[in-house]
Amino acid sequence: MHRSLPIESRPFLALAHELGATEDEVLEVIRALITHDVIRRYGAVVRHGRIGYSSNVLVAWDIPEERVNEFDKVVREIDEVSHVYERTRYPEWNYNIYTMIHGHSRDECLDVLERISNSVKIKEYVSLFTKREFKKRKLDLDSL
Amino acid sequence: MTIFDSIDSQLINQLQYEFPLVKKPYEELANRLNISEDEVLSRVRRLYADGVIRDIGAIFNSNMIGLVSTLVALQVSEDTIDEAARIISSYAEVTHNYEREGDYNVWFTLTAASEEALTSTLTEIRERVRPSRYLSVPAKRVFKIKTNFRA
Repeated sequence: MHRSLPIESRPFLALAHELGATEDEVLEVIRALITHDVIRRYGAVVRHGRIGYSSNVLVAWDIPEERVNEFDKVVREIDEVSHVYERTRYPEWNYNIYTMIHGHSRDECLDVLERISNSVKIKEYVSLFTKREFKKRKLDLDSL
Repeated sequence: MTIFDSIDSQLINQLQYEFPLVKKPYEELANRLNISEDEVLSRVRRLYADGVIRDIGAIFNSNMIGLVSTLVALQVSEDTIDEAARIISSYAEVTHNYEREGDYNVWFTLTAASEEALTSTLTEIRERVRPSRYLSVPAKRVFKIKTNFRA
């Protein structure tokens, strides 16, 4: 199911055959996995760089624990923010929240960043713009 | 950037945000866009060939299927960065690998089936790359993941 869907009129048929099930059963399983949050999304993964999002930046924020939920409420609504994670802090790298921002240009990313910073009134952050993408791939579950 | 028309844009958005979970999804998309199923199939093939679409399928929540992962930051010298990147990217457990601005210039994600496997792979990478600085920042909480983009 993690493999690519064939580009043909009845794309679930091959998978159904392999599993000894009907297409309806396969679709039902997919829907159930979505409901139970095992599958986050079923659909196309697009190379955002090919549709104009040429700039992206990882921003590491230092946000006090009691303000984290407030920060989440703000960035949740911003489309240009694709990822928000809370990660381990270190004395030498004292940041706890990480956001990934995508834009059509560096300026657009900076605008979004400023908007977030002003909205939550947090100025403690570092912006780590992407210089080069070495690798970006879907996880190959068969290899683990 | 690929040149595509407004039907391609709509198709790209539909494929990401509203993929029809029915027996004949491309026929359903054809109905929504007022074109033939054959045209949808041919446009999708072209978008794949042009590298606009990476994949169509299930995106799993890796922590829901028993996997562990971390984000790693390294500082490597300018003249060794390409080789370091090559070594890191060679691991199937590494899905994202980037050069970034800042003191830590290489950032990558590592996913494994267990903590032991993760630590073992990370140790091996560190031994081969020999970064001058290193940081592993595993996730404590995931607030948002939204990997679709409006065309």
